[in-house]
This record gives sequence, structure tokens and C-alpha cells, in this order.
Amino acid sequence: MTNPMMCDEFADRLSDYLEGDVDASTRIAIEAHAASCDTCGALLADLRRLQVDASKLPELSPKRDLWAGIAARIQTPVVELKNGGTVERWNGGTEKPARTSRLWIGLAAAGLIAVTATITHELTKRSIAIAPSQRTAAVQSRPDTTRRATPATQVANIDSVPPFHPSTVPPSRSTGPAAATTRLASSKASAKPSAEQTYEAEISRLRAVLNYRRPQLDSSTVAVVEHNLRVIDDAIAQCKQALRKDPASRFLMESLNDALDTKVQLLRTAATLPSTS
Amino acid sequence: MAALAIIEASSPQSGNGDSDVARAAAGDRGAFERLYRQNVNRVFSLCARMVSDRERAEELTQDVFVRAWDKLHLFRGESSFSTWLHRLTVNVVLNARKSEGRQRSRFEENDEEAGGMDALPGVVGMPLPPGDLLDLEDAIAKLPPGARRVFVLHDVEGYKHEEIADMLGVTSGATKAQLHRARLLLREALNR
Repeated sequence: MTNPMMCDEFADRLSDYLEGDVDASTRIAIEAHAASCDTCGALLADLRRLQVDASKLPELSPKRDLWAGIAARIQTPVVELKNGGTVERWNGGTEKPARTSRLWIGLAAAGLIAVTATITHELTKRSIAIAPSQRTAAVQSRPDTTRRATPATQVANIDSVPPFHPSTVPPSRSTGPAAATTRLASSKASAKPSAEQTYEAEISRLRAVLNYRRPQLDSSTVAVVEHNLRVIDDAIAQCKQALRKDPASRFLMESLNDALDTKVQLLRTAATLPSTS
Repeated sequence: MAALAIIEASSPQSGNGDSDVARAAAGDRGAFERLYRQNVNRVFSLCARMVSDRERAEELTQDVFVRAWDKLHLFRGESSFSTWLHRLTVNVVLNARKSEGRQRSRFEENDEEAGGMDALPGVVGMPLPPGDLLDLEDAIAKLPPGARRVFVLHDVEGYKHEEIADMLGVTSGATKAQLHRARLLLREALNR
């Protein structure tokens, strides 16, 4: 009934035929074979029907309203919290202030994240302090403030960056929504903390936010976050241990910076995760 | 691009949508929420069919709209907002796939090499009467990831092979091969 040779050729050219990528003579030959061969004719009919059915698939709907999670994440830019938990938008927008506690907590977290983003911006200009013996050589390097600094340029930039003083904001204040009202840049300090200390302070704050929000977050997601934090902590510990043996290693310093930065980024993301409904 | 044309033609509030796009670009979250309401099902549908995981699709849908909010000032109106958002959705899904780690990639490669549905015993489940769209939806979800992505982008969403190849970083010949493979696997699944 069927011609194996012709069926093989039909199978070889079927994809191009369905895409309209064959010339007229090939198209005619394929259609003629499909008309004369039950097996190939059924295959062609099925695939055509599949194409039609695929283009008619209806829209799907999420099982829950996703807007709350999106709204919480796009609130981040500037949020001022007043006493009593009323939220006022930076642009004096047309919307009424949000008053639900869950949203308020989310906004508080978002506000803190905005603050820590500023801090990270400062941190990109700075670095874990290089060994004193390396400082002179490093300062000779040309600073590049337009991108993430290499250790050498970071050292060169240290003295030119306005100091940031995390010690003026005790970590205990950052527990809970009130953390978003912290004023990080208003203090005067007598000593500059190292970049590592600054990282640790930020990590502490973000940790506090995450701990505060933990009851509202999906437990399995939090477990993944915690697991990843442990991995990062291991990397940080290994970098520090290696730096004790080789304090001049640019690679190790970059690795430590990267690990600390990754931890801050992860905590920042985790702290602004949408609440489970 | 048949599917995209349908999307734009069927947009019930295209007039209001344009002004909402402008308002949202200016920072009006209320306008952006309206855009979300108008487009969420379409974005979610694409995410769900591309990743075959509803919860992950919900997360990606949120990512898409957050990204849209961040990027809205870059929207120049050269295409409709729907088209722009659709392309953004594809990018978000594909970028998420790239960043999901080596272990998953390895799993997918094994999945691809193993030959598709037959390599996943039990996932197809009950016999599927041919032609039913629900069954087709189910069968698409069980395609190997590479074949599924190409099938969804081409046959469901209406992208051309050249566009899909560009998105996926492969040749159009590779996308044609994946598409044909996907169709044959679906036919087999639906005729069981």
C-alpha cells in the first residue's frame, strides 16, 4: 500500500512543508503522497490539527492575585514612614495611604532596602582594607569610579569617599518596621569603619528584617534562602582564612568582596519577598 | 505572529490602555495596576506554558511586571504595550532559565537526550482522547523543555523561527528541528 521510499522522503520533507519552506513541485508531491498513503495522510492531518489547536489554546489564570506581591516590590524607591504606620508616597500620588499591617511591614522592609541600596552604592567605591604593605603600590593605580572597583582602585578611593558610619544606628533599632526610619547618613563619627564592618552592619540589619518577616514568608522559600546563606557564609569563612595566609592576594580580596556583596543582595531580595496569602 | 495579532485585536481597553501606559510610565501605580489586570492572564499563560510549573509561573509573572515597571520609561510606543510586554515576558522566562543553575541545565540536557515523553514514565498519565485542548495543554506541559519552549513560542504564541532562534541563541534550523520533534511527541501523546 505504501511506498517506503516515498514515505521516507515524505517524513524528511514534512517539517519544511508545514513551515511553507518547500517549492511548488515538492509541495505537490507531498500532498499527492499524503492523499495516497493512509499513514502519512493521517500524520499530516494530525499535525495540521495540532497547529490549529495550539493557536486556539485559551488563556490561563493564576490561582491567586499576584498584584499584592508586585505592589510590594515596586514600592521600593522612596517611602517615608510616619508615626503610627501611615505611609505617604514620595510623589504625593493620588492613591490613599496604605494602612494594612502586612503592607506596612512590607513597605518598611522596602524602605530599609532602599537605604541599604544606597549603602551598597557607597560600598562599590570601597573595599575590604588591603594590607598596609600593599597600600602604597595600590594608590598608584588609576581610580575608576564608573564601575565596580578592583581592589587596587578601591584602596585608592577609600580616602575620597565620604565616610559611612553604621555604628550610629544600633542593630537593635532595625528590628521591625521602625527600621525603615533609620537615618544612616546624619551622624558624625570619629572613626571610619572598614568596608567589611559596613557590610556586616548591613547584613545584620537585613537579617533583622528577614527575621521579622519570616512568619509572613513561605517556609520552603525561607529554607532555600537559609541554605544559600550558609553556602555564602562558608565561602566568606574560606576567603578570610585564606587571606590570613596570603593577605596581599587580590583574588582573595575580590572573592571576599563578592561573597559579602552576594550575601547582601540575597538578604535584600529575601527581605522583600511577597507575603504568602 | 498570528497570536500576537489576536492579542492586540482582542484587547478590550486598548484606548484606556494607552493612557494608562503613559500614566504608569510617569509613576502612577494605579494605572500600572490596571495594565496588570488587563495583561496578567496572557503573561501568566506564556510563563506557565514555557516553564510547565504553575507556582514558578506565578513567580515569573510577578517578575515580569516588576521588570515592566522598572523598564516602562524605555517603552517608546513603537509597538503596542501588549507586544512589548509579551517580548519582555519571553526575556524574563529565558533569563530565569539561564540563571537557574548548572544542575538544572544538566537535568534538562539529560531530559532532551533521553528522547522526550517516553523517557518520563508515568508523567503522561491517563489515556488522552485526541483533539481536546485540555489534553493538549497537559501534553505540552510534559514535553521536554527545549521542545516545549519552541513549540509554545512558535505554534502557541506565533513567533517566527528566526525570532525564536534569536531569543534562544540557536540557529533557526535547530528551532525547526525542535518544533517538529515537539509536534510528533504531542501527536503520539494525544493518540495514546
